[in-house]
Amino acid sequence: MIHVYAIVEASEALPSGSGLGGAAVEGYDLDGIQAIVSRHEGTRIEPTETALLEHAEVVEAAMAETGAILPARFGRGLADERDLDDLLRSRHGELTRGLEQVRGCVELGVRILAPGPAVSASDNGAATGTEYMQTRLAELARAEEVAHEIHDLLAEGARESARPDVGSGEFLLSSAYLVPRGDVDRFRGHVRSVENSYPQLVVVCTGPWPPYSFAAIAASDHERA
Amino acid sequence: MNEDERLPLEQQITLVELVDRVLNKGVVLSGDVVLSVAGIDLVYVGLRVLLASVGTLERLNSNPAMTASAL
Repeated sequence: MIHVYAIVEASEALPSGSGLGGAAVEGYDLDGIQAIVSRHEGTRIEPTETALLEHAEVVEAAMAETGAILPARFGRGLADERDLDDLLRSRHGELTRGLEQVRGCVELGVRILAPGPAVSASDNGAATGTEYMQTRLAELARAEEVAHEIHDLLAEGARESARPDVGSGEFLLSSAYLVPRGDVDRFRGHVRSVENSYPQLVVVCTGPWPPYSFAAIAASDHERA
Repeated sequence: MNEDERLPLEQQITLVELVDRVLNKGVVLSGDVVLSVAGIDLVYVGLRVLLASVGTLERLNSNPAMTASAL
């Protein structure tokens, strides 16, 4: 089978280093675009944590060599070279447009931890459990408003932003921003100023990442912010 | 919060972000994603545990009053 790491332009150099399970990393060109792949025995590769990290390393190394990259999601793999050729042929247009959209950019991730409950019922001034819950719900609703405000603020400093995920699980905000390489420091400055404006929130900025969150968006051209 | 405390939090979130990107973002090129594969469930279980601990620890760190009342 063939595992795909990313799509780059045909002229780009291959990343040094090996792929999943130490396999050699190869390029497969078709009409100006290139899939970065490795070949494996068997019908599929188990997506263990090690395999996911190896995939990510190849994508990162490839990004270092290139001006435009569409990272691939870890998938089941392609059966053979003919499937790979069919894929590149049938989606050539969207992949080429996708590369244009992310050219020169990296992705920065922002996560904000959901604020904890206001200590206890007696400390937040509530006389009863019901009042406490009402106060708590109001706090969370307000926090989600703040998350949208922060997202809008950060999106202004980015070329594009992914649809933000607000108020799910442990995080008040999970979002991703496409930023020209040269603007990374400036964007981090925006994040720091947000952090200073909302001292009660814990804001973590990760990256620069290869533009994973924008590869699918760019290629299918929907949900653009 | 000082830098010593912040580093592990950032590293943990970075791992979560990385796995999330490799599995859920990125362009789908080779069949559908691997949600049906057993190994992935294990990765997700691990991440949920990690996330829960990140959130809890951070709250305890950032809110000493809560530490006193919660413990």
